[in-house]
Amino acid sequence: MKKLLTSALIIVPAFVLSLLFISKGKMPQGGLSLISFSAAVIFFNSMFFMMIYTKKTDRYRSALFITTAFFFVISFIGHMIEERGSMSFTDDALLNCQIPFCHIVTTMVLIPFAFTKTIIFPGSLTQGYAAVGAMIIIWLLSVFTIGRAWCGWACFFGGLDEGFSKILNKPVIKHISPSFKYLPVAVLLLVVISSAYLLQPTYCSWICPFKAVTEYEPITSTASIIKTIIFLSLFIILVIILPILTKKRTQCAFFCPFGAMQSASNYISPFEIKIDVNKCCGCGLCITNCPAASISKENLKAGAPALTCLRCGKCVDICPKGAAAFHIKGVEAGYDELCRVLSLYAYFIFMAAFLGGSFTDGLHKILNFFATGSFI
Amino acid sequence: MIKIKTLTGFLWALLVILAIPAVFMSNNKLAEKLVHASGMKISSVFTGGEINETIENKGYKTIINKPVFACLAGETKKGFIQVEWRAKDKLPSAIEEKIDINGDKIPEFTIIFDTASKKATIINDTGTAAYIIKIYTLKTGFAVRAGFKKLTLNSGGFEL
Repeated sequence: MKKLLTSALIIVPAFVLSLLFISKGKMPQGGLSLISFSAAVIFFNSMFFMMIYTKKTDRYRSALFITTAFFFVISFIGHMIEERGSMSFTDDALLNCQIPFCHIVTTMVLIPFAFTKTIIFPGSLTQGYAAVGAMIIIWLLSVFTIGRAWCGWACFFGGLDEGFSKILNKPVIKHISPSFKYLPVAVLLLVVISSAYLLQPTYCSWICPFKAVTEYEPITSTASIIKTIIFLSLFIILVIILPILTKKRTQCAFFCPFGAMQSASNYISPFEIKIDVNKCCGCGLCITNCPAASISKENLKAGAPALTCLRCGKCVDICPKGAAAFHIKGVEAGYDELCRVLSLYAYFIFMAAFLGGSFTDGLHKILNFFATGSFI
Repeated sequence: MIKIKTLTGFLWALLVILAIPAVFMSNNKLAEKLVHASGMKISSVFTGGEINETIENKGYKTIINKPVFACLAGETKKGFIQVEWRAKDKLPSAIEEKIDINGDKIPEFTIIFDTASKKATIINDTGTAAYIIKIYTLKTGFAVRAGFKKLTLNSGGFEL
């Protein structure tokens, strides 16, 4: 009973903040809005409560992360259909710069911006849905706060390959060459250089797998047919098939240029995962179960996962000796639970603030579909 | 006794936890400040460049933008010019637009646009090798991007 009450008390500030962010400061009007809002608040906070109460992180984070990604896709596609009548963008949206800006584009706009003070993306700077300025502020915030936990907690795409990675109980492909961990860096370099040279966001234009579930160029030319084949193939291979076969987040771990860039922010974030070398029994469970392939034998010896760690908490949950733990830089041993709660607080608040609205909107669109036969 | 390093670590974590809601709450204002302070703009590769001239015609208006020679540093030799036709009532079945890029009152090329078939052709009036890059279908009209190569620069601007 005491544990239950303590856990409930711990989540009170997070509950208040999530209420504020999910409602966007206004009480929802109408029956379906109220239902979707209440469901979002209850679901987010019950998952967070379970993380605190059970001292297990990944199971509840994963449920929240996957569900949020699903509702985000529904919300985004619904939004595009509402605005344009289709998932493909129109010439009007292109020329009037109304394309929503996604965090992955950040990797491609920084160098051209440094040189030309212009953003090489047809989005709105401050107005409308997913404006450039607002997304850059959120990205900067993530760099200085949660680091690459963005990919484990806040990325609205990451939940898709995580969802598929949970389908099988055991991986079919058990060995992945360690050299694959350099692939995202190569993709990052390729898209940064090509985007700066061509002044076009080349990843978005040619190889982003998530165009399959967001928006894409209308198929009107040979180039657009080739682009469509590429992004659909990459989505099927990297987001569906390989995660199912490997039980890893293959798109995030081996292809995403944003993930590669965001890894560097793990240096800046105060939160980290630490592995106690003295407690580690060398069973290798964390190595085989890490969804981002961020732990190797060398990492175990070094006492920390690789810089690519998503802070999902899988290794912390699975370690039979309690050697892996959430940690705050500078804090001495003996404060494991406080470090964990503070880390989870930062990640959860970020997630609720960033994705709570999409969750509610996606759920609302689904409920609307059942009530009226239309998503919109 | 808590060590200073531990205390600093917790303070840092708390600051971060407080910063997250604070920044999200003021995100729109911060975004406006960021855009304003940095002088951020959308690249003319996407906007089509600044408007150079608006011509009011019977039933429609023509918007001719300034030529764009965008590249990472300086200007590129290959540029484009964007021309838009916006219907007030109805666009004519064929539009002929003479384009004077360097402002010397001598058109370098002419764009002929068939609004029914949405096809554009270019007549190069002064030996310019202009070509159609893309035709955009807009809610109230059409836009055409014509590409061309800047050959030499003179003191007055550029010469084709």
